[in-house]
Amino acid sequence: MNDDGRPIIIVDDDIDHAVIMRTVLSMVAPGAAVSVATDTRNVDVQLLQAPRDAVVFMDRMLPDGEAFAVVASVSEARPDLRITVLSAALDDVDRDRALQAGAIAGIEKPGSIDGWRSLFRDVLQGRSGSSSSDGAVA
Amino acid sequence: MTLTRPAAASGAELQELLDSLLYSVSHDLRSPLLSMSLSSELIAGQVDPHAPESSSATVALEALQHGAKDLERMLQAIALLSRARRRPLDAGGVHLQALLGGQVVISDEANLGQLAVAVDPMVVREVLDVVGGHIPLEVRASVEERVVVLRLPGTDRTDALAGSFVRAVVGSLQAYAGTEIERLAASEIALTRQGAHLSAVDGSVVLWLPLVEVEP
Repeated sequence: MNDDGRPIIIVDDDIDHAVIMRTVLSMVAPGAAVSVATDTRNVDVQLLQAPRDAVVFMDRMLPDGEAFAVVASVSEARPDLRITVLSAALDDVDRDRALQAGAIAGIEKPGSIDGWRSLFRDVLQGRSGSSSSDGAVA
Repeated sequence: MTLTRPAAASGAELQELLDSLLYSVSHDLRSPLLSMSLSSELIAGQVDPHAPESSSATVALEALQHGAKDLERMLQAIALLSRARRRPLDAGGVHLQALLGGQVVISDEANLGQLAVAVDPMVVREVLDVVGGHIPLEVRASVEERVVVLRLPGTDRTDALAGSFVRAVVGSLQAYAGTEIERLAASEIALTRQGAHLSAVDGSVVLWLPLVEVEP
């Protein structure tokens, strides 16, 4: 659970994914304030205005390209934000890129609701790291 | 008006494009598939648990979930093969003693353990794990010219194959995705990148690894 009450931000231009993620988050952290950014143009500017200590789940692919550069610039300007990079397919190279950019984890999007529940619980409780496709923590 | 014929893409460029396509397919197709799989799970949670198994909703949901799982299995296979084309490899040279430690090695070569091969040891260990699990394997080793040949026992599935594991997967993704044949195909791709080879021969899984001189 999101015990410390951090706001949660979903950044994904795939509306279906964003809605599903919000639905599962409502099961895992029912009291959390969850906002969704599906218009991911200039997402770096949006995130610079994010609430303090927000947890950010960001899709790796943005309209302008990969999110790693955005993660790097936002992490530097807002080190309080905890950013997790998510992707439908993520290999070890890209996981490392996410971590080097300043994300707390790079995780392949799970294929099951239970996988998403585990992913969100682990990230919100600060147990995240590089992860498998079922959201299990390595 | 004269039309200028564009220069044809080189073989290397086409290969790079195909590699990118393989990677894109595994990523871009998985996105909508995830939407379908996850949505079907959420819907299943809303269906009356007391509804008969033959109800249209139950039948349709099961078909949707099975289809999605099947697609997921095959896309994961494509992703694995794509990663094998891209993964960083360390082919500096490894002694066979280190490479085959823990296995039961049968060979006429007196100093087999001192020989070194130019392959990433992780790739060879992955093959050994796929074939034997964590049980020591009987490995028959020989040296032919500048190549070490390692013959491993086959599995039930590899026994039915001859030749390339990649060709088997390409021939039937449905049959081999999610099986050891898929993982051996990924290993075959990684080994081929290093000048080595992996193949199914007469019921065995055989590796050909190039010899290299390294510091003792």
